[in-house]
Amino acid sequence: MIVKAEGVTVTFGGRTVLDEVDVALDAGETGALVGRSGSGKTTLLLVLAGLLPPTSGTVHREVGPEDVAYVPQAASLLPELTALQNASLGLRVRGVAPAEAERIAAELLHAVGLDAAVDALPEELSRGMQQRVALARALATRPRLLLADEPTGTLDRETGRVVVDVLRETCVALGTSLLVATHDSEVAAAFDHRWELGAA
Amino acid sequence: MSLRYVLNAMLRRPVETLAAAVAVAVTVALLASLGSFVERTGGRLTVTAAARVPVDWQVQLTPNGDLAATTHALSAVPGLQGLREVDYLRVPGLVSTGPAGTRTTGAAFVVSIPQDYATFAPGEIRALLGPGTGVSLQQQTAANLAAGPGSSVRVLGSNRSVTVRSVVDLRQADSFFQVVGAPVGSGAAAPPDNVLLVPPAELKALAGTAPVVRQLHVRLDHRQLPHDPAAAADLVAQRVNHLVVAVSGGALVGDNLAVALSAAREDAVYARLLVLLLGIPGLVLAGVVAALVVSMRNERQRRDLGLLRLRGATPGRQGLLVGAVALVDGLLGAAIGAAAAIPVSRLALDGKSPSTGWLLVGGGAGLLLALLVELGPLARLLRGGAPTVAEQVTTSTKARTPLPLRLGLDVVLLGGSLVTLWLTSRNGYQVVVVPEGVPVASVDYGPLLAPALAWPGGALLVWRLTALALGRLPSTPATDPHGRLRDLRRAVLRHRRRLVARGAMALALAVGITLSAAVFTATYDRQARVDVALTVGSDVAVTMPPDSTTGLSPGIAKVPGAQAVEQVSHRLAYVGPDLQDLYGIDPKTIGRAAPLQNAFTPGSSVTAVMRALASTPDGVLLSQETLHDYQLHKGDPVRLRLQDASNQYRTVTFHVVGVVTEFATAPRDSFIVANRGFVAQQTGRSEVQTLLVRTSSPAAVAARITPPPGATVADTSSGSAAVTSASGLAAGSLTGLSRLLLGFGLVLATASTALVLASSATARRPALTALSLLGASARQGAGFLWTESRAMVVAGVVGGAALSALLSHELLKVLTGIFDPAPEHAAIPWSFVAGTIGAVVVAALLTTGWLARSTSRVDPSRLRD
Repeated sequence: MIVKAEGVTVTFGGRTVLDEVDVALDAGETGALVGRSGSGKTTLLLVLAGLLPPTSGTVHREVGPEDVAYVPQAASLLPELTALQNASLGLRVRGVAPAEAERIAAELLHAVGLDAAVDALPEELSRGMQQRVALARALATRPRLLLADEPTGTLDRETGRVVVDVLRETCVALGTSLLVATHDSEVAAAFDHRWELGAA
Repeated sequence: MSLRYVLNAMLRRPVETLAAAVAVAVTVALLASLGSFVERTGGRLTVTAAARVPVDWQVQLTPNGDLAATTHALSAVPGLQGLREVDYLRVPGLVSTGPAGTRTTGAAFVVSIPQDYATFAPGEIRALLGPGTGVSLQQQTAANLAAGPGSSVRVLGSNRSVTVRSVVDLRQADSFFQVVGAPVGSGAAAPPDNVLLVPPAELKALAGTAPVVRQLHVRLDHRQLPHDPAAAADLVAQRVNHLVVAVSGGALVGDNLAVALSAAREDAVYARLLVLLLGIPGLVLAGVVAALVVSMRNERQRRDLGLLRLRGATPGRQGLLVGAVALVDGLLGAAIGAAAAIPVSRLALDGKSPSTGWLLVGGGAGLLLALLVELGPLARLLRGGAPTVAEQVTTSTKARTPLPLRLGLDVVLLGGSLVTLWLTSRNGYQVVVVPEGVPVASVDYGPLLAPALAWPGGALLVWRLTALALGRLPSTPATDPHGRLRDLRRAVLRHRRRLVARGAMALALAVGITLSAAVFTATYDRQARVDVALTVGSDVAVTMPPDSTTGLSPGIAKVPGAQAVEQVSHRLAYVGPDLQDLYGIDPKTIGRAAPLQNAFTPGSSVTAVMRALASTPDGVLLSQETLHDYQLHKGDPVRLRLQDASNQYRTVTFHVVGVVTEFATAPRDSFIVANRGFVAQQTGRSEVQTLLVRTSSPAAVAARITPPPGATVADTSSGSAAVTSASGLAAGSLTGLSRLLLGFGLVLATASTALVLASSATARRPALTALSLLGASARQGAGFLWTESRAMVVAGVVGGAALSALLSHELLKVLTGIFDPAPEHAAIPWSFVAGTIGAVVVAALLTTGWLARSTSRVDPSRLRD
């Protein structure tokens, strides 16, 4: 198992957000956390990413933090950098030379269908395009586990479907395990596994 | 709900509440302290001006005046402290006979003063020889008659003789012998050369049937005067008018007090102008800092309002709730500010607390400020004009060039400032005009436009130049082996150049305001010291009366601590019929002890003039007025009459080598400077009447000098030296205002730095979180903050220094009337400048370091938003 959570419980100020949740994902598999707003999807992703310790329960990851990529719901692109610079950022912080990082980033942008937008600033891109740049940035570092929070949350249904398809296919191609949080059951249907989280 | 909301806002976020209150408090304390300074300066100037007047009114009976009726009318004047009758008799001359023969003076005044006059009007008469009471000769008259205590003097016209008991100096001879009732603007009459003071009974015997001018010298209680010199002058003038009406033309009043207060009005106006030009920018800066602090909670406020909306609160209700929080912040700020103003004022303003009125004004302003800065953003939030977090994250920060810069307002304002300065300074303007006899001081606000335009113009120019420089940063390095991301940091900086430039502008304003105030006050303090040193003569001066035949030995001033001693012979010389002071100096060495400035010798440097005098043994420097009145030019011979060793006046021919307007110990009107050796050689008298001593510890050196009988020792540290210096403002100095402005300036410059950087970094938080999620190290994330901080601080400090240089120059030009003499160049307080820049840099380092640390960790709660 590339990541496995057993009996994870998270409480905030006496309020239980996650209650005894179990999740397990193998290498190369895709999965979806489904639930309404406030059901604890984001919290679980943060716990799985190692960004938030659970109140109780255990999380086991086969990979180190450098092999885990977390994409928050908001695209979080640096507004002053172009799509190419944003997509290469993950590699640059790891010390990859600028030219090499941009070459890899350009490939990923091509993979997510943004060849024509490499020099565009985030504000010149649509929400869907921004989300794809964020995913390309996460995938550029070749993570073994990608955790994406509501990648379609701010997109219309059609654009959302395109983004998810691109994401899933790219992950499969790269052998990256993928776990997304979504409130859309239709989106979740395309994944290998799905876990329903109830509203707290 | 309201109370709970306010309590929650205060108690759950105590740091935010306290920060907002403290920011408001700084403004309150500054305003209350500045107001206090203005009020206190007015009061101090009134007290100082009044204290210089030994006799407030000289009430002169007209030929049909009645002494009893006038005395009765005077007794009804509020605050009357006392009055003495002083009568003046004009006689054809005085005669003395001694070993040197018989000497006769020209027309003279015999004046009767009561026995206790010296106690009644201290400062009017100074005893030089003898007890200072009884029959006394004025110093120059004694010299003319070669008489002293014990000499017999015959009064021509009465054929009676009196025996002299004392020789005195009439220190306020101008007012003592004024022409009472002379029309305004007719100018002061020169005091008589020959004066004999006698007891009242003696005058009756001397006068016989000759006409006597009768005066009542009046002293008033100065504590009853209003603080403001103009109001005090008005009140005194009204009382004089009332008196004149009460005696029905039976008396005329010489109002010495109103004249002194009138002169103080100009200084009071200058003090207000200083607060206006130096204090108002500080207040504006304090307001901006308060707005910045409050704006840092706008994001949370936006979320709170969202929750309130969900709970069904109407916009009015929301406004009420936020307004209540603002009110609490304002009240808290007002209370803290008022409490802080008390020790601050005591510390800065000689231990005095601010008045209740100014504390209330400060508190009210603080309350208003809190409401404005907190409700202003709220209005924007309620209108939906404020960006959401998501919008902030993805919206480009490449702000457009702001409208003022697109319109070229920086160039227009600066150009306007320089043109205004040129137009107003080319013709020797005066900002404050106080016509004699007119109760209202007139202020020419035109020249003030120069610094007023330079503030915003200079600040906008810093914005423009910073943005321009950052936009031209070189692009990218080919490699980045250490993952420092320099190319990306530069790209971000280039992109955010206008925002960074805006921050730099705020810093430049803060630094500029603080440093220009520091330069101005340092220049002022230096000139005030020169002013006092001019009055005293040097750091320490030992003086004998002019033409005294007893000289001073330079050895008496060569005490431990004395760095240089210069000898000056102080003589009296006739230029035509005018008697003027003549100072015999050694022009090659006089600069070692006497203050010398180019302003003393118009048209040439003082060094060149001294060199010319040294190379011309019979050279003489004359006042502009003397040159004009006698149509003299450089190189012309001028014949002066000086007393020789036998006390006879003899004519000596000098040659004009230059013009002099001011000189150590010299009076403000006409005087003469010549070579001491030549004067001694021509008159056969080498006595030195003045010793000028240069030292770094005036009081200690003055205390070590033992003056011979008749000599006085003065030093620049003594209060009397300051009080009698020419400028009223110099007398009190700007120490209080300096301390206030520099203290608050330092606090505001430091706070501005921290707040501008914090505000900028807060907006960068989402981007930095994204970097952390990508695995960026703390150092890599912090690199973006450090790059921006460095650019902002360097541009802000450099821009601020340039701005302060421009503003200091303009302030010194515009307020040149305050200085007497005018400064040749600005005094730069390097230690304060270094301290301010150091404080700004340290504040930037600490703030950026703290922000870098706090943003290096991923905050899950922000991701859950």
